[in-house]
Parts: sequence; structure tokens; C-alpha cells
Amino acid sequence: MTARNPAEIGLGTPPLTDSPELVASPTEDLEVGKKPGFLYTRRGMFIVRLATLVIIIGLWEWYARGVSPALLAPPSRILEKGFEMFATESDLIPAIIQSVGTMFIGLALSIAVGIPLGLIMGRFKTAEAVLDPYVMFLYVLPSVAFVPVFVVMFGLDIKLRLALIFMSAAFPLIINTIAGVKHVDQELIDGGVSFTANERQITRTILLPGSLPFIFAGLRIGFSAAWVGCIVAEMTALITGMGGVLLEAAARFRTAEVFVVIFAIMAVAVTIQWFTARLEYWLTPWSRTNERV
Amino acid sequence: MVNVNKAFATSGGKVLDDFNLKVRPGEFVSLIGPSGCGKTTALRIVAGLLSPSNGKVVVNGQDSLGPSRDKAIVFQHFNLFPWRTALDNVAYGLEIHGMKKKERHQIAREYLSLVGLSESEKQFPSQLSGGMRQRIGIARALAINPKLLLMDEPFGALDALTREYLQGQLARICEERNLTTLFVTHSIDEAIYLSDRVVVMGVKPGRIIEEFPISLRKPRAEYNFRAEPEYAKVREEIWELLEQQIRKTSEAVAV
Amino acid sequence: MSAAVGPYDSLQPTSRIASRFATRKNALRLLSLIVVFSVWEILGSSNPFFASHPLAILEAAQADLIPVVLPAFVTTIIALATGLAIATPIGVGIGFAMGRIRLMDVALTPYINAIYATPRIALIPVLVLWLGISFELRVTIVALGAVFPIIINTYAGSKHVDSELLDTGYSFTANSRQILRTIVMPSSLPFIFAGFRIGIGRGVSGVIVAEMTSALTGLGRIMIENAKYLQIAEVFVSIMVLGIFSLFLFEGVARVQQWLTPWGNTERLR
Repeated sequence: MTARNPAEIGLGTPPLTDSPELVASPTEDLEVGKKPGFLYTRRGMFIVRLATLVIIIGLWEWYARGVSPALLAPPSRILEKGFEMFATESDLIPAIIQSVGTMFIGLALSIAVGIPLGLIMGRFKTAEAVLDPYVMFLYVLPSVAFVPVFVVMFGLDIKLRLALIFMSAAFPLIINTIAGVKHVDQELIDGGVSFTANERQITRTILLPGSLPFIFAGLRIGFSAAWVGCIVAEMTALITGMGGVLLEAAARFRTAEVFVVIFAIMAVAVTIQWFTARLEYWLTPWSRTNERV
Repeated sequence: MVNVNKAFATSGGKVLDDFNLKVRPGEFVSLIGPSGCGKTTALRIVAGLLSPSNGKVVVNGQDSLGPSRDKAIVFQHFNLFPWRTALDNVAYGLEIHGMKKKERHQIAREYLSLVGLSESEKQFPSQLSGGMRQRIGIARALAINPKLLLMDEPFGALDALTREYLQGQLARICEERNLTTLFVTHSIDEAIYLSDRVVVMGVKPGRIIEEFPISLRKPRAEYNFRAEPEYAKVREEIWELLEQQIRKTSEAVAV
Repeated sequence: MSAAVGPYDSLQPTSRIASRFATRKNALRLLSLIVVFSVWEILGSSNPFFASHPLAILEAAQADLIPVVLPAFVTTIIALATGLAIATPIGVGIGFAMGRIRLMDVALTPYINAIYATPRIALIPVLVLWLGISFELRVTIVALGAVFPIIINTYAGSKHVDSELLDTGYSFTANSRQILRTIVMPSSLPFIFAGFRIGIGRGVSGVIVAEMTSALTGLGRIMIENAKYLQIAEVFVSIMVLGIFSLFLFEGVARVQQWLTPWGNTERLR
């Protein structure tokens, strides 16, 4: 079993999710016929993780009690506040809807532009040469740097947020798509050509499926980058959405509320990860090996 | 001094059943059989990389169930460390055994020249051909001066010409050094060429079916051993046995 | 046999270097840059939608670059370097622990993942509360950003070491320490570099965000100050500095990686 090594492009590795269907087993059958150990069973893993969580929360609770409530809120308080914020007519739920919604629109934009652009740049060396300097430059540049510029260009409304989300998410997507296309074996393309496929057909039937693993890597990175971009926009320029709620709570030193929002933001982020992993699993049945976690 | 390997192995799925093999010092024994007969499993058990659920491995009268300094393996896919030069790869075993750099480099150089690769000392495996890589693998195994040489289809990943060349080299080296060797292969010709004894294994369950001592004189590179009548006879017998076994597996699948 | 004269023999060294860069690709790139910047200049100087245009940026650079931008940039770099220096050994250590010890793997994976995915900016208000607006704050944010990709990539590299190579080590009677040192670590090196590369990116964005929100020192503060007074051309100067620096940094790391891992991919050679 070889590890995925997209190390060359700096794509990084997939998130640490357990393979959805299979239970983990050790990679070495040191003894023929030996059963996998406790730490490899679903139940075992769950227990260990739960225990870790309990320990962390326990320590946190204990430490937070001895410290000023403005500095650190104990988990019990956070939970309490959490119920309050979600149950009552607080700003939190509308804020969540607004933030997540904006992110999706920005992401859709990034995908609509990013993937086709990546396909073109990957396939045609001329396009790559022409666009490459900008893509690389904007990829390494932290998108946060554009906030002042975008404020001037777009004003303080949703266009600003969309622009920032786009800047965050589009470039990883483009770069990974390019890598994916380049990774498609030239022989496969030649095969298509020999069947007299035209450019459109080649793209649809060979390039796209062939680059899917890389496109998904880009999607994974781009998706989480989009969420980061959204929160950054909300917390730096406009005080709106979940970022805004967080800042307001922080300004009033309501630390427990701040933590509630932090966890809500984290929850969205984790859901995004889980979702992209599942999507990839569903859409690329041919690369499902008996991958041992 | 008798080199005895005796192992029974029964697993959950009965990979090997009642595998009982004795190898004499200086003897070259081939294990041959269709896929799934457990020959690689058997080799790995002898090597100490797998544990049999039953039975043991005895080397020179002493139990030897795990890896030891007396044994060395040559792998089918070479398993060279990509980050080490040819020299450092050959010196690997010596390094693990605690030898100092100067000494082990000296010995490694000896063995590199034994396999004819002195010039490639500073190169990385990625820069070398398949045949060269396997020669390094062989040098690496020999460098620790093992009492037992274990080879798992070492020439299986090479092209036919390189294979023939390396078979000749291996035969020469083993004879010069009187090495005790256990050699897994799926090529009858290769087995007969190299061995003093060919052990044929069967499938479902994996076990030893029959053993064939080869009395063709050595060194077999120096004459056309394939023209000898004994060769044809032994080859025929082994082939018939194997064919039976192969038919067994494909029949089971067809049903 | 007389020495044959090649086509480039009579050229001066500089021309030889020039011929290396004079590829078709680079020509296209240069052309593209010229066209885009020209169009930007034409549109940007007239249309207010464009926040700035190249000539204005150059002018601002002439005034600001050396006295203002570069010193602030140095302050930022120091925080960046410190944060990375802290994050790397911690990240590699935890990554190896998780990769090789099953208990650590199972216990920590979901939580590392969750924190990694969370936008760090959400943590800044709390961190400001704890650390105040200080050098420590910026370093912490850089370290937090860099450590997770390093952990995750080191984990991936050390977990999925080719089992055949491990078997080879075992067969030579290597003990666990030797296996770690001679097989797991070299094998994981490319992964560690990948993680480091990503970590740098996050570190840079982290320190800029921290400086923008806390507005005390560094490049981020310069950018926010300029934005406050609507001096967008000046902002672009900082953006350019940031971008060019990032490009050099990534390229530099790639070179170091090439130098330290000259053998290429560590997939088992067949």
C-alpha cells in the first residue's frame, strides 16, 4: 500500500477521517490468524476518543473555575450559554444561516471559475504560461491582504465577502486542478484521440475523471479556505454574520458566548470536511481500495 | 553441523499445512509451486517475519523464530532504501549490527565489487536499473555473512535477459561460498538450474507434495545442462505435478 | 580527435544564462505581464472602481518602500520565523508520535482535525485576552497556524511507511529505535516538507491577520493604517512585498527540499 504523495504541489494530505465503511486493521499481519487489537475496532476507537474528550473537558473545567470568567469560560458555562443562544431569539441562528449561505455562494463562484480555468491551464501550455504568474502570485499571497483593497472596491456589503471568499478558495482549486490534469497519463489521452474524440469529449471522458482525485484535494482545501475567507471578511471589515456575533460578544467580555460561537464555527468547518470526504468517496468508486486506516 | 529448518504452520485459513522442511548446510533448495501454495509465507516464517501458529524454525540446532543475524533475505521488489546510496544500502545490515562506519564501508565495498557494481557506489537506487538494484539487494544480504540465505522470487521483477545473467552470477556466488540457500520461485527452469533439491508445493492447503534431488553436475553455467536427459525428465515430472495443482485451483474457481 | 566546437562555445557567460531564460514560456509570461499591467494602468487611472493602478503604486513605493514598508516587514518576518521555529519541532514530534503509536493516533486524530479546520481568526479575540497585543500574540498565531499542517503531514508520512521497507529493516534485526531512525524518518521527510510548506503559508496569513486586527506593529499594521487613510496605492506596495516574499520563500523551501532529499520520491522502487 503506497501513501498518496502529492507532496510536490504542496497539496498536503487528506484530512484524518476514518475510511467510511471499513474498520481499520494493522498493516502488518505479524501473526497469521491474529485478531486486530482493541484500538482497531470501531468500539475501541470510539471509547478512546470519548475518553480523551472527557479528559480534556475535565481539565478545562477544573482550570477555568479557578480563573476569572472573562479570561476563560468553563465548559459547563459554555454549554449553558450555548443552549441559551440557540434556543432563544438570539442573533446566532440567523447569523449562521447568513455566513454559511454567503460561503456557499462564494464557493460556487470559485468552482465555476476555478475548475474550468484549471482544466484549460492544465491542458494548454500556452494558457498556463500566460496565466501562471498571476495564479501563483495570488495563491501564495494571504487573501487577508486584500481586505483593505476590496473595501474600497466593493464597499461594505456582500460583494466584499464574496470577493474575499473567492480569493481564498479559487486558487487552491485552480492549482490542484492543473496538477490533476497534468497527472492524467498522456497515454490515456492518446487513447481518446485514437478513437477520434474531439477536445470536448476528451475533457469530459478522460481529463475530468482522471483528475478527480486532485480536484477533490483542491475542493477540500478550497472549501475550508472559503469558510476561513468568509469569517475573515466578517471579522475584519463588516461586523456581520457569525464573525460579527463573535466580535460583539468579545467586546462585551462575554467569553462564554465567544466560545459558543467558536465551537459553532468549528462545527461548520468539521461538517465541511466530512461532507467533502463523503462526496469524494461517492464520486470516485474506482479508487476505493481496501484502504487500511 | 546440520542446518535444520522445521516448521509446521496452520493459520485461520490454513495457508500452510504440515510444512516440514529440512535444509542441509551448503545446500541450495528451491521452493516451487502455483500461486497461493504458501511458498512466500513459508519463506517469511523461516525468515522470522511471520509467526507460524504451530511449529518452529530451527537453525543449527537452536530455535530461531524471529529475525536473526544468521539469516538474510533478498526480496522480489528489491526493497532498497531510496534515500541511501548503493554503498549505504549494502552496509545497512552491518550498520544495524553496530559496526563502525569505516569498517562497514570497507566490507560493503567488497561485496559491491563481488556483484560487479563498484562504480555505482555513490548512486541512488532511483538512478540504477532493475538488474543493478537486485544485485545491490544480493550484496546487502551477503554482506552480513549469513548462515542462511533466503530469496523470495528475487528475479521475478526483472526482464528475461537480466534474469539469466543474474542466475548465473548467483549460482557462481553460492557455489564459491558454499551458501545454504532457500529459494522461492515459480520458474521450473530456474529452480532446476540453481538447486541441489527442488521442493514442489501444492495448494489448498499449502503443503509439500514432493521433493526432487537434482544431480546435474555443477557448475551448470558451463555446459548445456538443458540437453541432459535428466533435465527433461525432472522438468516433466515437476511440470505434471504443478499442472495438477493449477487445475485444482481453476476448477475450484470455475464452480 | 580534435575538440568539436559547439554552438554556444563562443558565447559569453551572461549570454548563456540569458539563453536559459529565453524560453517560449517565459516570453509568453513576460508578454502577458506587460499586457495586463498596461491594461490595468489604462483602466485603473481613469475608473474609480479600480482601487489603484501600477504607476501610482510605483510612486508610492518610491516614497514608502524603504523607510516604512521594509522595516515593518522585518518585524513581521521575525514573528513569522519565531513561530515557525517553535511549531516545527513540536509538529514533527507530535506527528511522529501519532503516526507510530496507535493510541496517540486514535485519541488525537479527530481533535487535531477539528482545530486544523477552524479559522484561526475566530480565536484571535480570546488570544488577545490572554496574551495581550504583543510579540507573543503574533508568534502564537503563527505557531498555531503552522503546527497543524506539520502534524498532519508528518503523521501521514510516518504512518504509511512502506511495509516492505519496514520488513527489510526487521529482517536485519533492527530494533524499534533503529527502524525509526533509519527507515521511518527518512521516508517521512518529503511529507514533513509538504507540511512545512503549507505551514509557512498559514503562518504568513496568520501574522498578517494578527497585525491587522491588533494594529500595533508589522506589515499588517502598515496596511491597515494606509487603508484608513484610503492610500490604496500604498497598500498595494505592501501586497507586492508580501507576494514576492512568499514566492521566494516557497521556492527557497522547494530548493532546500531538493537538496535534502536528492533521491526523489520515497515510493518503493520497482
